[in-house]
Amino acid sequence: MSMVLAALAKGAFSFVLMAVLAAVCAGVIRLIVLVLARGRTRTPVVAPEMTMTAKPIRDDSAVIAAVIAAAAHMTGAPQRIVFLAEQKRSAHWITEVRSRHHGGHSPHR
Amino acid sequence: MPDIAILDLFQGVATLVQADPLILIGRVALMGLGVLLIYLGQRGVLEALLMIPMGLGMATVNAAVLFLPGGKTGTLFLDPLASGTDEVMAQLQIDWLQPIYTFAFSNGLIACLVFLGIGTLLDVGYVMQRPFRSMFLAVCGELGTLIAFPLGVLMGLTDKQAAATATIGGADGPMVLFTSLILAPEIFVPITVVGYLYLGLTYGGYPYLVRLMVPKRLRAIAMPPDTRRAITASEKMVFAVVACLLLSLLFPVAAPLFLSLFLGVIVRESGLSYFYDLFSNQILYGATFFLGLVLGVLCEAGTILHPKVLILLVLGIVALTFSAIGGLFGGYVLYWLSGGKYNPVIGIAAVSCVPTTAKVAQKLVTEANKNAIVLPHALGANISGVITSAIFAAVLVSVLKAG
Repeated sequence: MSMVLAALAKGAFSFVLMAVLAAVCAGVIRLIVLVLARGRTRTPVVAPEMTMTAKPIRDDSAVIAAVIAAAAHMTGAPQRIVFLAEQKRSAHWITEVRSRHHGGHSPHR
Repeated sequence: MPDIAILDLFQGVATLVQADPLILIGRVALMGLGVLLIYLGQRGVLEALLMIPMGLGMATVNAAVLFLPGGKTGTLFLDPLASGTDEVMAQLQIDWLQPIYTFAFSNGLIACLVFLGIGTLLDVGYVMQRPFRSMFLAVCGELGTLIAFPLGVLMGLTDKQAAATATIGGADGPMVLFTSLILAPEIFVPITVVGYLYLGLTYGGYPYLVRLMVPKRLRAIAMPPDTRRAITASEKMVFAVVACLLLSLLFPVAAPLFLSLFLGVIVRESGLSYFYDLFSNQILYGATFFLGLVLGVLCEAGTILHPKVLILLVLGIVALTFSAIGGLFGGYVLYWLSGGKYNPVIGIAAVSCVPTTAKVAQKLVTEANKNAIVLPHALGANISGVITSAIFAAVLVSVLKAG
């Protein structure tokens, strides 16, 4: 029975200590948020005055059409370009090795 | 025809026939349990990512027992009881999963990798917007650990075994693994398996408890619109650094877990997309896969059939049930303090099974009121639960190691 009571006491002590530390954590969080928010209000960022010399191009489809025309001209291929998307970010050597590996079974193609 | 006994050819069957009746029944039952875990994982009742590799590992390891030199029986998977440099080195060259067990499991590395991955999934902004409420709920959600610890001692476990088992109440799988490896390495396998089995059941089981404790009228309470400003990535990083240093300073024994968790948070907030992709996908899911597989393989009847398993099963369910009750009690306290404006269901998310219990809270609230959104509040309590579980585990380890 004494072991159970000892476990009860240790458990209760640990729980209270955990609760205190959780409260300290919450306090630290609030402090961080307050301090950083104050720092932000003290140094207001003044937006630079915008000077526009030309109107920005808004027509995305015109840009895409121009890219497609340029790409078709450069490749000179008979195929039609049906889809354009941003290239997936990957290291060049990986792409090169992968394409070499994929093409390894048909070297004369 | 050569003079060979049929059973010598099929050693899995031979070891089954020649085994002690208890082991025989255990092996057959564990094979069945493994298949059942695969089925329940596939049906979505249990966590599929963990249960499918664990189930197949469990079933196969109990089928694949063979005779080893020296008249012993064992498997070619791993030997968790190997001790001493020579024996461990020998096993490393024989058992195919021994390298993962020796170099990543028994030292807690796999728990830290899972925690690192979990860290990348945590948006601490939810906690930082409402720190006191979230932490209060999370403290209430540790009630199960508080109750299961002395109960375990009462049921015949040592204080360290009872504390390790009680951490199941924190509902944090890697934490249970880490704590049991430190406090009760002799039964860490059954503790961790029981912990993960029960954690897998929270998504299906907790809704019944919530419906029982919270009437539909209260479940339908819509939280007032949030007017708090968004927390910036820099603020989240400052919090992660301060919390990691502070907690590591207080509890060096749990510093690997703190570092892993907050490193994940910092990777997420720092915009290092390569690291983020790596840790939130390959590392997290790779570690989860091997965690499930190795846990399953560790469930060989000769290793897991421990007289204390029944006690662990009882303690685990007590711990998780009381943690949920504690969380809901915390939800009720906030409901009363706010004059009836706080939805008490959010309390269930204090049981830090990220993000399962937060999803349970939102699901139950949506059932009662389609327009009520509690997920940001629930995620705040959920993430705070991870932090308080880590603190509680660290305090228990420190107290029991010192005593």
